[in-house]
Amino acid sequence: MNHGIKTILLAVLAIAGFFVPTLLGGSGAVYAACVLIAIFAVMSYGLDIVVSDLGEVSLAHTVFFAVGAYTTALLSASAGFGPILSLVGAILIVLLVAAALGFVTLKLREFVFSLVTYAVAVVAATIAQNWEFLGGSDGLRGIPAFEVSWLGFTARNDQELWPVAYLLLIVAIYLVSAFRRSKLGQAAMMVHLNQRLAVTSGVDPQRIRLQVFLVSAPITASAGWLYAYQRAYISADVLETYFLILMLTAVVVMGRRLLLGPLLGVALIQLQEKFFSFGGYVDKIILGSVLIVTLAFLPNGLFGIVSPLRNLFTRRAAPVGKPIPERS
Amino acid sequence: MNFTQQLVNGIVLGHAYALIAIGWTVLLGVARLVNFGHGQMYMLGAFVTWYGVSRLGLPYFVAIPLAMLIGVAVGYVMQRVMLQLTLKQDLVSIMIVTLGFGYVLHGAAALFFGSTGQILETPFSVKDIYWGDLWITYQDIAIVIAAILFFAALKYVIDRTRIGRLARMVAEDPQLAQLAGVNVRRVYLGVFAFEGAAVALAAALVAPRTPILTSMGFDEVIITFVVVVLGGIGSVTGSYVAGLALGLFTAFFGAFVSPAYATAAAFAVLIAVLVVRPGGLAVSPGAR
Amino acid sequence: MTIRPVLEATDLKVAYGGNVALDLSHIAVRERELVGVVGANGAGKSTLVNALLGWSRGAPKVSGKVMLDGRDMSALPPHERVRSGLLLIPEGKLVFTQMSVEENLATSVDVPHDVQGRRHYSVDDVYALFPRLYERRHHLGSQLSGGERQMLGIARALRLGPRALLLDEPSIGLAPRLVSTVLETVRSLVDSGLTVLLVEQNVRAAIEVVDRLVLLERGRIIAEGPASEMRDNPRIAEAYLGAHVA
Repeated sequence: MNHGIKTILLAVLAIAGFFVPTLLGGSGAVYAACVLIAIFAVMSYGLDIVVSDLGEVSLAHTVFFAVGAYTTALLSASAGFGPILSLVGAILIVLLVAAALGFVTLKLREFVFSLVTYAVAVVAATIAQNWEFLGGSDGLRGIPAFEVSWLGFTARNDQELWPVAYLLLIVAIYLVSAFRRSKLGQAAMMVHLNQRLAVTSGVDPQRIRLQVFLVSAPITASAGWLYAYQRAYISADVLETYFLILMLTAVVVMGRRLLLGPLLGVALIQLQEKFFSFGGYVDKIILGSVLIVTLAFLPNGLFGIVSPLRNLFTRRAAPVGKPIPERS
Repeated sequence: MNFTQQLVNGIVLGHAYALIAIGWTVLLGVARLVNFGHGQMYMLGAFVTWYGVSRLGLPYFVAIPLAMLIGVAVGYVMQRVMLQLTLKQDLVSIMIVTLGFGYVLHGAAALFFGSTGQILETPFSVKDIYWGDLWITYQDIAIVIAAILFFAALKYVIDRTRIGRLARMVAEDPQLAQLAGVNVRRVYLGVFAFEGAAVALAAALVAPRTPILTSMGFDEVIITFVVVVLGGIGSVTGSYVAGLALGLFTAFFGAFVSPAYATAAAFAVLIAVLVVRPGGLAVSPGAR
Repeated sequence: MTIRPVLEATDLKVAYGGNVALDLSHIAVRERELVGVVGANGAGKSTLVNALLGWSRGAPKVSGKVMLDGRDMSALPPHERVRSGLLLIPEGKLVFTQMSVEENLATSVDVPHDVQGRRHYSVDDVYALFPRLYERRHHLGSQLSGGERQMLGIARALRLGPRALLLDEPSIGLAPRLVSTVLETVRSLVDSGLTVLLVEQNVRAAIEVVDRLVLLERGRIIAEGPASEMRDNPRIAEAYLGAHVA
């Protein structure tokens, strides 16, 4: 597909997307659902670049989400910071956490790295439940409404929060797209596809992993930032496995490395929870099963089923799949 | 709590940890596979045993094989679903799939067994022994004996029998093993079934020590991870020793510093080790 | 007057437990020289190439010095050596199969242009050398034939500004005519100023293009010298070329 047409199409989508809640009826419930979808999608986009581009499984992204949420809660409720400042604070803290985690795991190979991230998330949950500073098992309450006084903007409910959520979503998608076009994104793909070959191209896999981590953490943390305002209350249940499974499923269910994949994935899952739910535990079974089935049987996700259609838009000059015969 | 009591606790806990980790020792050592659903399989084993004993009225010694059987079935199904991924050595997908299975097990167990805590009472756990100042239950003794027997048997099977040899061949080089006529698929299925049985047995023996919840299992994964990495991936003796060391550490840390953060502290120790020695402490043949 | 070699390794030893895989007292490649290292399978050729780059499979004991333009590289990790200009075209997976030719040729690291001795090849230079790659520039690596992949592998390395190029068994999997084409390409690159260490199993083809030949057996050098002399060396003739040498 022509690059120019693609850009125009995306721009149109970006503007039109803002009006989706209005088109769906504009009720409080619709806005609530859309804001949540936006938040969870941004959360998933952070994980997306680690899983789809770098090719590693990070199970610590719930920690980044929680750091974003908790920092926001602490800064806004106890220190009286406004939303912009608490976002800056959340990003700074999460960068420290991600850097620490990145350095510690620098030399670890794939699955040990994943195990360590898993353990970090579990330990973080223990800390969140026991540390009084973070509210212990009661959590932190009293997060004020989203109010940027010098802009005269206040969001007291989901409908008013929607523009913020949507803006965050657009920014996140843009960042992911920019990342994929950047040198870092290219290097990450090289490390993912063929690490040895990447090294022979002068790429340092450890540094790349650290850098990708540092780019992905703030994205997920910013979702936590907004989640704190949306819920007005944060407790240790932001570290529940649910968010992790949600993120992972959103990243893989549509297909790997699709720009709008995580957004559509989150929307699909939220739809199931709202309209096809049979109770919390059955939902767990459904979500987990979707994840398993996607990875085990549909490696290219749902879009993999309709993939032949995509070839109509490809600009490859040769037929896909067959090697060019040698001219003798 | 005095020192000797903690020593005894630590030894019992250590054997419990070693027992819980035994499935992974084989899984990682032979198949180079990770099972993130390990904790939930442990939970399942505990609950099946509890259900058998308290709801079905089965004797403890019948409930244990029942739990192991269900463990085998779960392990087998997991690997059967993942088989293509295993053969392709797609580690990323395998990790996420096992995580997904753990989540499904959690949901299913909560649905079936409920979400309240239960206590698994066995003929052993209610019998206390007092020896001077020290307190121990028959269950604790059973754990220690079972762990020692299990480890000895495993070491024997791996080192001296044909099955062990096949497993070691697959561990070192699956392709080469296939060329030597080994049915690699069956080995992978068997290894996962073993993991299911082992973790269920461990659960049946160890779970009586504390109340059980369908939301548990995460600490068990960390403990298993620490034991296996500290002991040297794939090393049977190493896992045993590491389990013991971890048990003692947890007992003393829990008693003298803080019980809630004991697992976190153990994990911190592991991190310290990994930073200094990214390959873990021991290197075993067939480890990458 | 002795000219300092571009690439030099001294007392390079690689041992796995008690098993010595490589034991070289000295090997060097001079400016604009094409040195061929040959030997049977298991002779230590790949071990040599990996050791020069700072790689090791498993956990062997590696000792010795590797020097690029007199600078000691021994403490540097592989990607740093690559950035200094010591480039490897590996055997087997030598291109990114899921990226296009164009993408393969785009570098993701900055290549210093002004460093003395490093040859700078732009994308146009590379396409001029390998017109076939230009024709196939939108194709994926997986859609290229064996010979084209080898060319792309070389082109990728050229794009990184080599000071010294290591080629690991380029002839593997290629038809004999292609092997000559690839090796002749390497020869012409050396003639235009490149410094290359070529590791090859195919002695007959290698001996046609190299300046000097080194024969490796069980990790040790058992013969070396200018190509013309080595042709007459009975060990070479007997062991590898068969009784008749053209």
